[in-house]
Amino acid sequence: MYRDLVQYGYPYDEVPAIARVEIPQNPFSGDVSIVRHFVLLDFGSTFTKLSVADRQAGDIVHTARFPSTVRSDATICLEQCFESARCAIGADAFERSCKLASSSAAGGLRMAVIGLSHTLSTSAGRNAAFGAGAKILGTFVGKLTEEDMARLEKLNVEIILFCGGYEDGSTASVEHNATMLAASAVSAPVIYAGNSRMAQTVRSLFLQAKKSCFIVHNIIPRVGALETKPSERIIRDVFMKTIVNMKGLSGVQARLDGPLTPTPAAVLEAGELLSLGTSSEEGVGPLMIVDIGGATTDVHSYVEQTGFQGARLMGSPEPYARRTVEGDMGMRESSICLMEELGWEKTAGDLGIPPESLRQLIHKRVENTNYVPDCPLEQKVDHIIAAGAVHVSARRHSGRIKYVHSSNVTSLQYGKNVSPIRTVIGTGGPLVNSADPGAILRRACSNPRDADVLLPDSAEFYLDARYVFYAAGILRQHDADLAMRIMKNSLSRL
Amino acid sequence: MALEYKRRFNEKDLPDVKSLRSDAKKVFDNMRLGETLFMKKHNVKSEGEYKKHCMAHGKIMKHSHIGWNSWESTADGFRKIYEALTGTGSSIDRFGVTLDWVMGVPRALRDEITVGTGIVFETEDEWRAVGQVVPVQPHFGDHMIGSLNSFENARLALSAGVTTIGNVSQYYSYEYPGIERECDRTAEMVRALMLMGMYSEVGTIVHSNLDDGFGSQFHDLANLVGWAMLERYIVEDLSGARMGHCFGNLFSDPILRIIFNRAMGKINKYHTPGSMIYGNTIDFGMDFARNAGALSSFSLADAIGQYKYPSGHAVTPIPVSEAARIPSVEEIIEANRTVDIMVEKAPMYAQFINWDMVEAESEILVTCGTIFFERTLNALDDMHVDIGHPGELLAMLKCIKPEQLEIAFGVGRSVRTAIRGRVPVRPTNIIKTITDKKDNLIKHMDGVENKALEGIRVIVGSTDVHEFGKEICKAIVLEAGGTVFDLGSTVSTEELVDAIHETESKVVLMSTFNGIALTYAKEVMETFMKNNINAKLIMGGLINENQDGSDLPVDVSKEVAALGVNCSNQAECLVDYILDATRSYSVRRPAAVAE
Repeated sequence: MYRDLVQYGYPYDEVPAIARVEIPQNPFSGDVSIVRHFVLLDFGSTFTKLSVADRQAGDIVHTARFPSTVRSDATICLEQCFESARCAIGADAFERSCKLASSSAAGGLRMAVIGLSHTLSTSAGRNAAFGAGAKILGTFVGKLTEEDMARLEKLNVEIILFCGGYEDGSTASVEHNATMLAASAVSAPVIYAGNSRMAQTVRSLFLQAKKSCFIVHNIIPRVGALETKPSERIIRDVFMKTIVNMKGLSGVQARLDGPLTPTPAAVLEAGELLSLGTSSEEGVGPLMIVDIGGATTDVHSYVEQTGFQGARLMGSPEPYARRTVEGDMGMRESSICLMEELGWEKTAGDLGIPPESLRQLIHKRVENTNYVPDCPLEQKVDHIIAAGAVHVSARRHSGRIKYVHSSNVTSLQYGKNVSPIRTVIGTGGPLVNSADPGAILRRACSNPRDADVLLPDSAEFYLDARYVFYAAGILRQHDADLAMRIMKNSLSRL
Repeated sequence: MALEYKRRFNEKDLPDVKSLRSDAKKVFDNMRLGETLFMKKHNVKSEGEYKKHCMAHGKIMKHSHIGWNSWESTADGFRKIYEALTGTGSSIDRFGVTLDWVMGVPRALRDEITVGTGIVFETEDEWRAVGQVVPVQPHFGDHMIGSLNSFENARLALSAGVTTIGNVSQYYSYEYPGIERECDRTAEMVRALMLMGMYSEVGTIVHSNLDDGFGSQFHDLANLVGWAMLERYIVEDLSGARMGHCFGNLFSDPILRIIFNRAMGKINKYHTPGSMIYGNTIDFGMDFARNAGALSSFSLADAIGQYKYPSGHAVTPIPVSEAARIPSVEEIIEANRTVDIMVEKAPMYAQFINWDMVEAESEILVTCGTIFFERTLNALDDMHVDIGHPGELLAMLKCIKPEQLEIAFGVGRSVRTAIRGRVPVRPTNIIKTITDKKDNLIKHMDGVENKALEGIRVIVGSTDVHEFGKEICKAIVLEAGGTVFDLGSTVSTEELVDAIHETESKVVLMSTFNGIALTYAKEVMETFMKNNINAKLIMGGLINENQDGSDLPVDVSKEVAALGVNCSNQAECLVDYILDATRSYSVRRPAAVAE
């Protein structure tokens, strides 16, 4: 019964834990405080990575990677990883170890966000979705139209985060949007994080349409407040329950000692830990993490929101740990979109080749996403793509200043001021394999033409050389100090 | 409760106390305290010394605040006021001089902000001239200690012979848009306090108007006393200066003024004379006859208090026109002459006041204030703030803000339904006045009892830092059953659009007191039109603005009304206005977002 209530929109946080959608898991049966080894996996689309952390050594003692089998049966690569770990640390130690995993397989968690205004509910919703590790394929602001619904249906998202209205605020627009969603062909579960006065109405509309709807706390309960955590929590729960089964990971969860975490959410957790530190080890302070992938580029920032030079802060509050994903900024699948942004002619000119040749080189990357550059020109193309991805993604991530000729304010700040950041860390294959990762990461800083962009003007650059941030993220709740140490050990100054 | 605060900078980045003191000492060693005509006439080395003399001999000082836009008109006003008052057997002891906000910014950064219409001193001679016009002691408050230019301005003022300098409260509540140098600002302020401390033997006084800063945001007077103790701790115990607290703007109850001044005397362990008790300006409105009554009421109380408990504070005659415009020379003179009568008659009342009750009430404030002070300081210590560093304390108190301090460390009884979760030990006048005004308005208002605004959503805000008008409107709307979305102070026109989308509010109530009513109304109406929003703007407060280069803001109600804005300023009709406004309303969807 409870499960039905959840399914049809019973307030999520009021449901007894037993009825929540968290998938069955095997919490570690032993005492985590005396566990020596942590076996940490990351299920990616191409490879499944393994890291074994050893408390006694205070570091990662074994790594391996195997081709992912998530499209067929993820337990195959799981077993390969486990066998590798077993060989490395011995069967007994392996049995006593704590096994945890993250996943970004099959494109990660694809979401759409709906809100009523750009700077308030929509911005808060996007922050929550990104914070939960999702990729946002569609953002819809205001009253939904038929065109919006047609676009949403085509996006084939896995979860919709439906926001709108302060508490006791907007009703008509919320009801309109709920009606449109309920009547549409969209079948993805909807998480409603808007004005709670409308929860009953929203619930009824989805119930009648036989669609899944989860109700959580209002993401913007009142002026100046932001509550993204409840939304993030249910997004992850729905991800595990609904999505994991669809992604060949169903057999994996039962073999783990903790819930499967979306990889970007794990990296977000890791970065926050590295920034803030633990009770026994100081953090590195405000920092930015840039993760370039084949299809997307993630930017994470960890810094307190501040008004730049006294500017009036616009919109909903910004979280300390903020993540954005640029779905059109990747090394392979989305390299065409990236080239459109950078300019074909200009990029070809920089490479000293005709634009048509550049088109062929890019086409090759889209066709063969596993392509590895095999000559200096191809390496240069990858370098330009990576640098462009960082340049554009960092600028989209950061806040902006708008100078106004107004009677009572002189400047308005939209988004997060990341200019106090002095540490930029790169992670992911394209950076680790680059001949000059420092030059790529430097593009995350502002330049003289960026008068209104709130990016750092200078920074120190590091590489997550051993790709351990996902591991540190899932390890954090069990042993923050060890997680911190393995990250610091992995950082290589550029 | 977990405190939420956003640091403007890492307080550990501040220079250490020793370095700050060394910086102050270097300046101290290379300067000389100036002498004003006032100091010469009274043969004193500072205003503080004169104040102590007054305290000992039962003389009550008077202070007038000057807000003209140019030095020429200010100097001319000084002469006229001094001559007119001395010519009729009256007197004036001190003038408060209002500097332009650009003076609060170091010279190198002044190009980054627009110069206002206040006084700007370019040279040391110009600073010095302020005390050489007439033998009335100048006082500098705003854009001095508390600003980004604290240290330099304190040096210049001391060199000019000005020895009572403020305004610590401004550190907390005044910002310089476009210039974010909070760490420098804090360090400069501490250096200035330390420089003042090096002259404390002479009688220098650091002034802080509690009602200008965070003090005005406390709801409980006991916590306000505790806050004053925190300021004293920072200025006196940690920086070595001596402090004189000013209050009064927000104290409407005349007896409460006496009680509060008595409480302030009890926490004044170095017996530093006070700067001035400011006039009660919350009772001032457009009815000049009533304003005259308010002036008589507060100045009589202040004089009675000074006779019983001499604290060195000057009484401040507020001209009856204060709420309507910048007062003229004649209006300042009139106010002084009115207060002369109050000072003359005060001793006759003093003997019939129940002083035991004053003592008891003030003791409650001090006892409870001490608890607030200790709780706050202990909590900061637990948060690893160096409570021996004045800069760290200033910075952290600024980011925690009074509301949280009051909720977390306040002394009132904890009640879930109370504002801020606590029943004030003694409510501030503004809290009491807001309640009284609201109750009085509601009594004569149709539609409140029957909850006529039920289901109606209203956005409220103010164009500047003043929030009291907004609070009254908010209370009326809530009482009438409406739903309020409070956007706070200094609300930009762009914020209104998204707030309307999230609330579907049909009415926006804006309170304005900073002389921008017409420009702001135009901006709002243009923004609404651009976004196809058909919400009604209702403005209240001072509907005025400088027109055609005039020195004084003039009433622009007609021009604002012509834009379709309701600015009739009648709070008693607010419910009807809102009901009228809700009849037509529409919002267009915002433009699409690119992924």
